[in-house]
This record gives sequence, C-alpha cells and structure tokens, in this order.
Amino acid sequence: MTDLSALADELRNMKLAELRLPRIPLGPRRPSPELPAGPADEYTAADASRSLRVTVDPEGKVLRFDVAGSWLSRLPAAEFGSALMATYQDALGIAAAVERQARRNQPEPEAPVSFESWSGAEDLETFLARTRAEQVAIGQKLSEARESAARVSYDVTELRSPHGFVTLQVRTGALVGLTANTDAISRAKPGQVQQDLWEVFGDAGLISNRASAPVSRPSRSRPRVEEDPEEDLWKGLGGK
Amino acid sequence: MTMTSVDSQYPALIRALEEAFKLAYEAVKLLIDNFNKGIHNVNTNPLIYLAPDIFGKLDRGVNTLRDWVDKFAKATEQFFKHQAPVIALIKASFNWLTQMQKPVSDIASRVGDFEQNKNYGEWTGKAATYYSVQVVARQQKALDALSPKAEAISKWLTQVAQANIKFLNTYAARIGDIASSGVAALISAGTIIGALEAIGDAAEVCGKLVDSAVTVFGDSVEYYSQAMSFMRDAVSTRSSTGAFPRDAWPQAVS
Repeated sequence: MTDLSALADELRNMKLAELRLPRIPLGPRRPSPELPAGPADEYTAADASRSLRVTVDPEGKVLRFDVAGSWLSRLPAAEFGSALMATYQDALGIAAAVERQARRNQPEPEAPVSFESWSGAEDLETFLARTRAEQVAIGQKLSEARESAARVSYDVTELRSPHGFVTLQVRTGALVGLTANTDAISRAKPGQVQQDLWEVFGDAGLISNRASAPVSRPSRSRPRVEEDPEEDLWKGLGGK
Repeated sequence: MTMTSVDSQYPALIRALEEAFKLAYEAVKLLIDNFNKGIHNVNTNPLIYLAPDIFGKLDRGVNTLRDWVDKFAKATEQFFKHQAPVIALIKASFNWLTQMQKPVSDIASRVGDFEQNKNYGEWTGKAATYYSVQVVARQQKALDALSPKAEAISKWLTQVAQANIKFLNTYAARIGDIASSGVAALISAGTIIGALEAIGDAAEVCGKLVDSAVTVFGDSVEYYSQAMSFMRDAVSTRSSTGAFPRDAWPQAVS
C-alpha cells in the first residue's frame, strides 16, 4: 500500500515561492494609456512626444509601426529605444486589459463537478474498468503538463535587426528588452526604421498573422536608405 | 453481488485506490511546482523593472493564488492523514473477508449436517437432544445471519473504497486542470501584464473549484451516509439477541 503518511509529510514540507519585487526608486509616473470603450480589432499606443505609434491585434501581435517623419525634432535619438519599448508595452497593456474585460463579460459555462450518475448501481467490474480508463487519462494529462512546464526556458535571445538600428531581447516569446543604435537610427529615414523594426519583430515572432505585407519592402541585402521619398507624419507599414 | 466475483476483484479495487491517492498527490505536487516556476518567471523577468505601477496588484494577486495553492496542499495532506487508517482498514478487511467469509458460508451450510461425522448418529440421550435442538439450531441461526451480513460488510467496504476513488479522481483531475492551464500560463507568461492576468485567472479558477468542491464533498458525504447504512445493518445483526444470544458471537467464529 502506498504510504499515505509519507506522501502527506512530503506535501507538508513543500515550500511555496515568494515574489521578490525589485526596489525601484520612485520617479515620475507615466500616465496610464487611455483604454477604448470596448473590444476592437486593433489597439494603438503612442509615445509622449507623439513620434512613435505601435498598433497590435487583440492577441498583442504587432499590426503596424508608425514613426513620425519629424520624430527627431521631438524625440532625442538616445531615447528612441526606451520610447519604442514603452509604447509597445502600452499597446500590449491596452490589448490585454480590454480583452480580459471582454472575456470576463462573457464567462464560459463551467462544467459541473459532480459524481454524475454514479449511484453505486453499476457493478464493480464496470466501475473498475471505467476507473482504470479515467486514471490513465488523468495520469497522462499530468505527465504532459509536467513535461510542458519543463520545456519552458527563461533564456534571453538577442535578435539584431537587418539594418542594425535596434536589437531585441526576447524571452518566452515576449519582448523583454530593446536597445537602439543611436547613431545609425538618427541618420536613417523613418520608413527605413519602420521596415527594420517590422523585420526584426517578425523574426522574433511578434508580428500578427493578420498584418498585410509592407507595400515596399526593402531587401536586407540592398538597404534603400536614400529611397524613401515620403516625409509624412506617420509612416505605417502593414497599415491601412 | 456475490462473494466470488467481488472476492476476485479486491486486488484490482485496492490497486485503483492506491492509484487514486498517487494521482491526487501528483496533481497537487504539480500545482506547487508550477506555482513556484511561475513565480520564478516573474522574479527573473526583466520587464519587472518596467512595471512598478502594478507591483501592488501583482503582490496581492500572488498572495491570493499562493493562499489557494497552500490550502489545496494542506487539505490534501490532511485528507491523506485522515484516510491512511481508513485505507489500511479497508485493505485488512478485504483480506479478512477473503479468508473468512467463504469459510463462514461453508460452515453455515454444514451446521447440523451429520454426514461429515457419522459418530453424531451414535450420540443419544438428553445431552445429545439438547445439543441438536438448542445449540445446533442457535448456531445455524447465527451463521445464517452472519454470512449475508458479512457480504453486506464487504459491500460497504467496497463502496467506501469506491467513494474514495471517485472523489480522489475528480479532485486530481480538477487540480491537474488548474496546474496545466492557469498556473501553466503563469510559467510561460512573457510579460508582467500577462503574468498578472494568469495569476488572476488561476486564482479565480481555484475559487470556483472550492465552490464546486462543496458539491463534490456533498455527494461524497451522501454516498458515505448510504454506505454507512450497511454498517448499521451489520451492527444490528451483531446485537440481535435472537441470532446472537447474550450479545455473543456465534460459537463457531468466536
């Protein structure tokens, strides 16, 4: 017989992890992004200088990057990386908050937990056969869940954009860091920056599969820095 | 339920019971391990430095979820401790029934049958008459009563085992669901916002399980009550003065 007391002791001795939040000096708080009234097909956030916009789908995948043509006049090049990261995080935050609220408003019907029709009427042989099948299924699900958890890695992967304007740090399929090459980015055309972002975010798996391909997609081997004639305020790629 | 069919299924029933406890243990252990890995994910996520605005929510959410996980672990631990002697009793009783019930049935059918001992026929006189009329009749009555009641006891034990198996399987499956969905989402959450959502979802599912567990426990208690009636029945047989005079077990098995 399984030693139930030993299992009980093991459960009692298991420790639960504690949250360790970093001590961050209190600075000026960024205002929270404004949330739309209800769920939508896309969510957009802009940085404080109105130089950068990031649009994501309800799953938080990027649909468009917009870099204002005159961004350098409003945003120091050295702050481009942190501004883009914050804008991207805001877009994700908006999508997550609105979609979560929408999910909460439409709760899925819960399967009742009960002994169902179990009334002791079935014979022991049938009970045992059903129990065996049930236990095999539960055991399999538990072991798949354990294997699935073991596969999750917290290694950070770095991805450099084709033109080298930005480098992304990606962890568990999410962007956790972004650094910009200040010199290179301050010399680039906005359209080229957008294209570069589009490609590296695509490489990281952060682009929506709903996003349409950019109208003019420069080749990685032939950068077309000088070929961007447009100087519109916003340069949307994959946009409408 | 005949003794012969149940008798051969006792080992399978005990195995199913052991497996049920093992699965419940594994499910709770997975819940704890996944919770710990999920918290490690939050603690080591570089985005935490960008999320001071939600530190308060994060702290409260993690505390709520930790309380649930802790409650499940403690409830399981207590259940295991409480049930350990019951399970040992069930196993011992099955062994006892396997060894005793059939012989009792055999004895009952043979009391007063003098075919087995031809010398009985040679025993005459007042003592022989008293034995045949009073003692044998009383033994026959007691054993006749005991055999079906032993079967009732075996049915009761079987149903207690079944109730434990059913409850533990339901419990393991539901805890496994939480560990493999809500808490697993915390493990793989890439962003702190995502982690906060996963924590909230997991805590919510935990609360729903506790609410619905009331139904599970309710059903379980009802079933135990039904099973207990078999025991009361068996005890009433034992205290029946007609079958067991002066509160004594039948001579053949005392």
